[in-house]
Amino acid sequence: MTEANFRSIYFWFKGWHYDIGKAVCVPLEQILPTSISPYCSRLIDGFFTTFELVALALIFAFLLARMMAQLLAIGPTLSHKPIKIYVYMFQGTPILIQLWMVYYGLAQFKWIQESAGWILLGSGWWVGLIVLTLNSAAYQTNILIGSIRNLPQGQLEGAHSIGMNPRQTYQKILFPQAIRNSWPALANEGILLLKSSALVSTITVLDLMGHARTVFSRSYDLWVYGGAALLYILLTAFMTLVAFLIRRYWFQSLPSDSWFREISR
Amino acid sequence: MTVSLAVASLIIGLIIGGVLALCKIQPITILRGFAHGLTLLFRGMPEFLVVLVVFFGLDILINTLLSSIAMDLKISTPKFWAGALGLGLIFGVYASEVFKGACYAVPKGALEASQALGLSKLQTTTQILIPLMWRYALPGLMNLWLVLLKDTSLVAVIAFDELLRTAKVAGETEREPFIFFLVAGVLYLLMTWVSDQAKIRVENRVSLAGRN
Repeated sequence: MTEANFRSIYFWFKGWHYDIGKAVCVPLEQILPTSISPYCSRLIDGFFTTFELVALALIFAFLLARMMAQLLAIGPTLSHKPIKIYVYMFQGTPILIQLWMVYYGLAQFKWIQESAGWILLGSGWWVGLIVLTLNSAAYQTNILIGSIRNLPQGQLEGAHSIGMNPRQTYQKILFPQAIRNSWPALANEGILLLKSSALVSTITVLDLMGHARTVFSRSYDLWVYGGAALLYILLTAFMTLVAFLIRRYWFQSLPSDSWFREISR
Repeated sequence: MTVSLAVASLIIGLIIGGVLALCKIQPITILRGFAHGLTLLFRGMPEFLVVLVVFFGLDILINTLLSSIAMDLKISTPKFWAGALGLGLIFGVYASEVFKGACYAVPKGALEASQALGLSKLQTTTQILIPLMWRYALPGLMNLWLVLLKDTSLVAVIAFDELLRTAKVAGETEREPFIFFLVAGVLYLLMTWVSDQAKIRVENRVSLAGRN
């Protein structure tokens, strides 16, 4: 992957953001206050940028968290300490400092600037994605492992007694139940991540907040922030809906429903 | 600076949270709807947005007020209080939910007993409900405090010189941003660690008090 490739992908995404933006904004032109209607398509672009960033970060973070929770639950003892330190570090510091440390801090070292990874670390979007992923993975690991620890001990013994190895036990017994029990907490974490994703605007990413800040610095009109707030609330509502639908349709007929909880007592 | 900012927002937030929680548990529909609407609004908005809106909003508000009374001077908004108000609002909205839950956790018998004693509604609230509620609210509030401590870093963006911004500026002048951010990160970790320990102490104490 060269920089030109990245650039073309980036412009392709921007292209359809603005296409949708035009489709949404032209009918609304008369209704919106005159101070935001010229910037409407920019806000829509920001809306989709934020959405993509958060969705990708959540998916990657979930995969990472699943792996780390597995290591904590059944992995070698040696791997527990580093994971715990990682989780504590990312939970104990503000996400803003993590973003700035990677984006502004790493630029201090010459050898990183000259290495191949600079294509990623030099661009705000990628740094944002990486940091949001790592941050959310820490929180999700904590949620998942807490939920696994809360499962009745008999489950582990039962799985062991029917001859499952630790890996199968985790994948077939522990994880499916843990994720169902902790789904509300995970959804909550998703919404928190959505809200902290506004901070990537400080490392030059033009997400919803970034666009709102740029427009505000030109027009000095608070309505722009009102529009951004409305779109953020829309995103929050959408994520709540998705979390509810996943819970409803994927987790319904499977264990840890009421009948299962009855027999697992 | 970070700690004093956090404490100031904590105090503002507790006041806002208390008022909102009282609005939520009393029977007048309009007030209740208002409090719930405010909660919904602030929980859906990023903290960063709230801080910026409060800062610039206060700025515009103060300047329009000044020009409307025909005073020809520009006052820049005190960043400390703008930041504290923004963070306090966020804290207050979350705290109101904690308080509400805590109020429902207070045993009904205590309230009924106070009515039987002939205390007025106001007296019941101030002398029975609020003292009893603290025990249930404290663990939740400690969690919020941890979140607040981390959110104070947002104020760096409106150029208030707290820990993170100091680290950034110092790092830029010394041309070693990574080291300074690292030190700031360690300081934040230290603060959360201390709060964590305090939280564990408080939780133990509260649960012990509940058992007696």
